[in-house]
Amino acid sequence: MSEKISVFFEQTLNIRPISQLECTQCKHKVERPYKEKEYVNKIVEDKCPKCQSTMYVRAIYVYPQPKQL
Amino acid sequence: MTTVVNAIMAAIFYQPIPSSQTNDFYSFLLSLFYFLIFIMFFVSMLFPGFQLSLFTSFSLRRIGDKIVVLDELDLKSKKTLADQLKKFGADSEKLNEHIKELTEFFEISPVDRDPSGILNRLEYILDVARYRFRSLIKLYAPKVDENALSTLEDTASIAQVIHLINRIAKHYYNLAKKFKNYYIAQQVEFILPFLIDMAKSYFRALPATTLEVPIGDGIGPMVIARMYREFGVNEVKDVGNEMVVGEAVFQNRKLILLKASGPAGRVGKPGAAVRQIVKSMEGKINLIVTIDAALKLEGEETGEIAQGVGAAIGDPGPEKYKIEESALEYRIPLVAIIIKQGFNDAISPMIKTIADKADEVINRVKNLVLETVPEGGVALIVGIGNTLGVGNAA
Repeated sequence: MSEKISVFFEQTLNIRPISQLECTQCKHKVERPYKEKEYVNKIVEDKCPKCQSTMYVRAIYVYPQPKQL
Repeated sequence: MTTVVNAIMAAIFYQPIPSSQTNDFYSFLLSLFYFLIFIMFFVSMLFPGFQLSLFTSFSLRRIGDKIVVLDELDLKSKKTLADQLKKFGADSEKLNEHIKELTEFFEISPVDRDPSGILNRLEYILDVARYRFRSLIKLYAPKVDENALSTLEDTASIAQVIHLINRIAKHYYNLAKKFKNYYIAQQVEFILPFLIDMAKSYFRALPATTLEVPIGDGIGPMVIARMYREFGVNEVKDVGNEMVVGEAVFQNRKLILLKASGPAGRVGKPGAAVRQIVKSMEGKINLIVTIDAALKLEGEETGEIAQGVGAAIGDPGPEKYKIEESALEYRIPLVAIIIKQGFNDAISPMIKTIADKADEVINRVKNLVLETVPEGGVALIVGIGNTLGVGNAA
């Protein structure tokens, strides 16, 4: 297997999605690594760092990677 | 160089050539060499087949070097599918056989010589193909539940497409090899980078299905999910065809918010759902808005939003037809909002640039509703796309 394709597999298979959480009360947003079985609109156990209210998953995304080979 | 010639001559004749003669001898050899090349050039012109077969073999060698990438992608995607099937109780001994069956699954398009009713036949074929494909997955992975089945179906479909690309590329490569055909070889060589790029794009979608995170194409359903949250829609109604609907009120206007049922990887049948809703309301809808990801042209920015007229949906035809037909029957304005992205972004895990556009799309929808729907009126907003990783109600 060529080095280029090995790098491609490594970059592709090891993505680290981010969950953007939003407070249901004060709308404060935080980002943290995605946890398994999370989905958009799911209420999560995390508490708002500002007002301690419940938070939900607002979006799940990855940061654009540097140009892949 | 003189030293080299000397050394060669010494090795051949076991004695060095006197240095005074070496330069002359070297010049003679060089002239002879050029003369032979000159003659060979003219001789080869008498046998054009020889040149062509030489170029063909060079071309085939270059293709052979590149085509291994497709092999690797095919192999890795099958391995990912095998791991997923094993997770849901697949028989390890028959795994190879099952993978082969799934990746070589095909459907035959309906005959188009008589186009009358072709969309109904196409829809029927697609439905049966999907039912059969899901049955096979269920048979091979008996522990899979309904939600996981949809996502596993996506994984299997990706492996199937990558396998198909590999098979097609190999078919033409082998054909060129078999007939030593330069022209086929050239065509394969030209198109191979695009095929590899396409296969890589599909491969990038695999982690999204295994991790169950939204893909770029899921921006439509994500906009609707965010609207559910914004307008406090706590309950959605299952309207069949794997679609859910929620109702909200925005400045004295009723919004009917439709999307595929998440968070599993489903696209549902938005056309059927739109038709059903429009019929049930006897056409008393002032506006239908479809929101979907659309392929950008090279040079355009990812996440650019555009508005137009028509049904923004990339299905093979039946669903789009139903939306257009429903709008036409009751003369309901049909507006489309698209979020532009590359093919690669559309099928791989959603990038932040696209996710950040959801709010902007919602603002556009609100402005559109205020502009075109009178107070007391109704707008049907449809989020088109794969709802993987996007839940339903708030």
